[in-house]
Amino acid sequence: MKTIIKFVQKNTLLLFLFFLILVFSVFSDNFLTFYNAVNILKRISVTGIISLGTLLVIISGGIDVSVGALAALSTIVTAAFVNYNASPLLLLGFIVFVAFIFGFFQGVTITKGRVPPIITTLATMTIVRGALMLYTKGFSINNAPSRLLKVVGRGKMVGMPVLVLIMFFLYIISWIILNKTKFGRYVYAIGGDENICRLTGIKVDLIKIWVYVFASIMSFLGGFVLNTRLNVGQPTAATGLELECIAAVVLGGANLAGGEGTVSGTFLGVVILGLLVNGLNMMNVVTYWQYILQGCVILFSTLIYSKRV
Amino acid sequence: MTVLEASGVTKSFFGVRVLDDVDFDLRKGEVHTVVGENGAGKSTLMKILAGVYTKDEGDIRIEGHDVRISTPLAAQKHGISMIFQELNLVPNLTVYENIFLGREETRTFFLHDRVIVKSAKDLIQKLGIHIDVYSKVRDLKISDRQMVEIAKALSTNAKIIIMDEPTSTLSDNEIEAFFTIIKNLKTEMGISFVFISHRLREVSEISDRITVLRDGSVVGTIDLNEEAYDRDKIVTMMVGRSIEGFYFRTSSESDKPEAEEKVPALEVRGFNREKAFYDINFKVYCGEILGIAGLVGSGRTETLNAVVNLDPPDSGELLINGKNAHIKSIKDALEAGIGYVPEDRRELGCIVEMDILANCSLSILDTLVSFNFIKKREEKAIARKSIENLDIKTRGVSQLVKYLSGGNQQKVVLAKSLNIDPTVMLLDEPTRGIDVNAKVEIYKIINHMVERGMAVIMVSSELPEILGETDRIIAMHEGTITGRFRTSEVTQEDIMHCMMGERAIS
Amino acid sequence: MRETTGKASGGEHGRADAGMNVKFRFIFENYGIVIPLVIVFIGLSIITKGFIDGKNLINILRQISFLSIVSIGSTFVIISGGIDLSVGSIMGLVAVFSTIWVKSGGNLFWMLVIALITGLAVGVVNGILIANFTIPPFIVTLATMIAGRGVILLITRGYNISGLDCDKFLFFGRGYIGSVPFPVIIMVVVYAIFMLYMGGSRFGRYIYAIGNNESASRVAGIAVKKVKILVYMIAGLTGAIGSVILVSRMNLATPMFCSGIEFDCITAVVLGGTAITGGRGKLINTLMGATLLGIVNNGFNLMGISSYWASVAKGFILIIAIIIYNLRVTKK
Repeated sequence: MKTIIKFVQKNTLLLFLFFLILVFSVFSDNFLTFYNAVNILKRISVTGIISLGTLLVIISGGIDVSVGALAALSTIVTAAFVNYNASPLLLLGFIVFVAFIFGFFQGVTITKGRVPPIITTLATMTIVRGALMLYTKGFSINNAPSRLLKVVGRGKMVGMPVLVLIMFFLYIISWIILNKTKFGRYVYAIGGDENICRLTGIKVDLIKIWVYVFASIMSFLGGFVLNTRLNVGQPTAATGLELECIAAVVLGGANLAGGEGTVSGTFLGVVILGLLVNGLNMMNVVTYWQYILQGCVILFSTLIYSKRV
Repeated sequence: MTVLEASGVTKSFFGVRVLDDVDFDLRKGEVHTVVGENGAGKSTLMKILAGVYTKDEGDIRIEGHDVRISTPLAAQKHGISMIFQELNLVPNLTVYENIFLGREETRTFFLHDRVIVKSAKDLIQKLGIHIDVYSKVRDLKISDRQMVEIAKALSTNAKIIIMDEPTSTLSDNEIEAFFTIIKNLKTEMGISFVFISHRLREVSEISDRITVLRDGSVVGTIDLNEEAYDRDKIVTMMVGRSIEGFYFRTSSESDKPEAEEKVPALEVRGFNREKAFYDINFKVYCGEILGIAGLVGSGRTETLNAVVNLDPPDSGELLINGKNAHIKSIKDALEAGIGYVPEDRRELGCIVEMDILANCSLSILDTLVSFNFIKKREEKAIARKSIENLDIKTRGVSQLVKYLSGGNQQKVVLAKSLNIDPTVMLLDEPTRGIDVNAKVEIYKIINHMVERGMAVIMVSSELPEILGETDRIIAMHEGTITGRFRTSEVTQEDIMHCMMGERAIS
Repeated sequence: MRETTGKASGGEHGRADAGMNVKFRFIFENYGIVIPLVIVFIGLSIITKGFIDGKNLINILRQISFLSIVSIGSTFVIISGGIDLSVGSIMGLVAVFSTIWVKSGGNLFWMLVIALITGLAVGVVNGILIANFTIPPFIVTLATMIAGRGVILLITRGYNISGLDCDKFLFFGRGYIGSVPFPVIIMVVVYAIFMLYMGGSRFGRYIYAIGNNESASRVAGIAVKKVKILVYMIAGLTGAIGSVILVSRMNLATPMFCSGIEFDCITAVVLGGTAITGGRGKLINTLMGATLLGIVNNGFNLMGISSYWASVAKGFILIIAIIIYNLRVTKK
């Protein structure tokens, strides 16, 4: 009996996922098909990618609410580049470059300027959304036909949509970074106790800056993928996405105070949230329950994790 | 063979000399314990060796070479590692990750944990204990965490390990295990240890030499390989000094015969809190000062915190004027007439970012309001009166407390408590960190309180202060009361013995 | 069994130079906003046609009124050392409830009651989670913000609520008393009440104490938990008042009503010189901060500059204001 309880405690998330799958497959015939599974994966791909950035920030003890705005910016940048017929390599290079700049500035403001992360990223969000509206005057920018975007948005490789493959790829990279590099180890350490890290000689500020750069890059890559899905660059894209990512990461086991969180947990969190939304849609429950769900998820997970500490 | 030699070490903080021309040496493979009262300078000396503080004067030589230790990392390079009472481990990381934090092995960019995991396992094994190096530090018990810290020190090739109160959080069994490990390390690996400890009984078991510090100077060093362990001698060395005559309880006052049937102003019965204090009983009467003596970790502050309900006891009764007080919150305690001056005046005693006016009235605002608005004039009058009565040196009631000197800040804390018109005052280290002149003023204030009929309980680590300022004394050791005395009938040594846990005089 | 060992501080002496620093900081915090305010005001009146116009000034006042009222709550929260991100959702909820009530023929008096209770209720939830469960304020208010928005969306199903034919209702946002817009009067009254209260009452003193040092406040006998809950309730209350004014002026409740307003509130508070870390600050400063924001917005409008420029500018202003404050604090 004890071992069963232990097993449940250790794998709560996974079990919950199976439970959900079970419930939905009972209610809907189409649920348990490969086609549907792939569909769901496609739907969560943007959130999934961006949540990786949120994960690192939260593990380090910070927060980032600018991810949605940055993703939207990325959709516009992508559309603009494609309309100028730029090469894909240039596009991606530019995206990473711009992401780096944003992440860098946020990181420096937080570490050297000592402006709390919530405020820094909130301000960035406001600035970017405002700037986007100014630049686009509220209009979306359509993509010119582009091979790259077609491949990414609609293409398949080895039977899987390219977007999903990109998401998997980024997940693997993030896993490697968090678990197999010094940097990743230090992110956990800083989230656990910053002062001890400083005493040990770890360059806390530098690592934090890189964390926000990473989050920024993930946001931009996610935005790029979003553009290919919508086939348009939208200034209002990804509104509210930052909160969805936080909910997914927290559901996946991350502690908002820092020091905890895993890539696999985040993936499960993203999938579960995605399933819940998808399933609710299919059961014709109104979409807006999403928000209530997210809010409750965050509170609930925090309450549970605060007991643990 | 001498591995470390410090000579002429002197250190002052804010003009107060904390270490005065101290000589200290450490031999290879020995356990050298430093003892002394609170404030004797033990911690400061160790922190200088560990690079946390820098000395003002003096030399340090390691294996014969002059060295400069300006940072902890520099100390580490010289093979010195210090393990603090608050263990420096990151709770959410694993044992091996903590041991090698900042010194991870990498192969072309990626972590090569296999190497450090093996090293960690080896170190743990060498210590002779069983800890899973993959477990997270927060899941370990304290004694194991301490082992991890030792392993961490060993991993930096430390030849000298300094430990501050290593056994204070261990159970008896764990202490035995700990000593076995230390003995192993010193004989087989030639590591030298410096311990700061109060627990003489244990210390005598494990130490090779004992150095006694008092008021910043070395009183003497005893080599236990040559001399038999003589507890009384050590205690005398720790406290032996003449009591300066600037205390105010004259013998005539403290010789007041104990009132026969008087009701105590405050009585504590059977206070218990797990891991803090056990079976605490005492009474204090109006017009007297009860001193509570003890070393760090003896539970004095915890007891006071329990009386005011800052941290309630698990069980026990509190009687005020003979009646059960039913105190459920700090507010209740204040209303029952108990004033509290905490140990940490800047963090708990007053709000340094606010002015004297606000601080003085902080606890009595309920009585200073009409229709919820503060009667500013009355508030100002009270603050002015406090300044006058306690002789607080300030430009005015609107001066922010943080700009006052330590002594004046303490007066503000006292004023805040006195303004509730208490019957009992609890003072926790009321003159710590205050210069001599201010101390005298504080004693005057305390005496005045007693003359006006208050009952005062004073926790203090300074034996001269306890002997000079109190009428009766309770000595505590590790949460229990080990001695009760009339101040006029007791010596410093007697009290110190009880503080160390020895004879329990009832 | 650990007693706290005191920090090694030896003897201490007072700081002779304390005087200058105190004065400077006092001036900066309390009046630092005045200079930029005056400069911007004068600048705009020179550059922009139509700025110094009776009608325009009244307009500005009306626009400022609603943000400044809502920012009262944020001021209390920030001084107490917390943060409230749920203001926008509270306002949205109030807007939705009010308009639905009025549209279905409800009594105005009860509408006000519903509005205020909604604000207080969410405030209580926030307060209890923060004070009794000790969950960090930004997490709690983030969650209530999200959940609250969800409830709004659920009720409105994404549609606007409009077409309330009730003149009395419109008076809140559009009415005048004499030549002064009603919202401005509400603002003056509300500010007067709260300023009096904050400056002179026990409660106000407790908020400053807690914001500066929570543990010492507890030791001094202050009911920290109760005060914190009350603070978040006030935030909900002022949000409700502001919401009624705004929804009445717009005669419209949208699903995204006031989404993001919390950012403006924080900016108004910080611009006014209040530290984001709490413990100091005055309501009058928030008023000036809100005024500055309002003037800038208005100026931009008159110059035909898109309000999105204002968004961009506000973001930078917030960050720069905090950095400047931090730089000044470390200089000491």
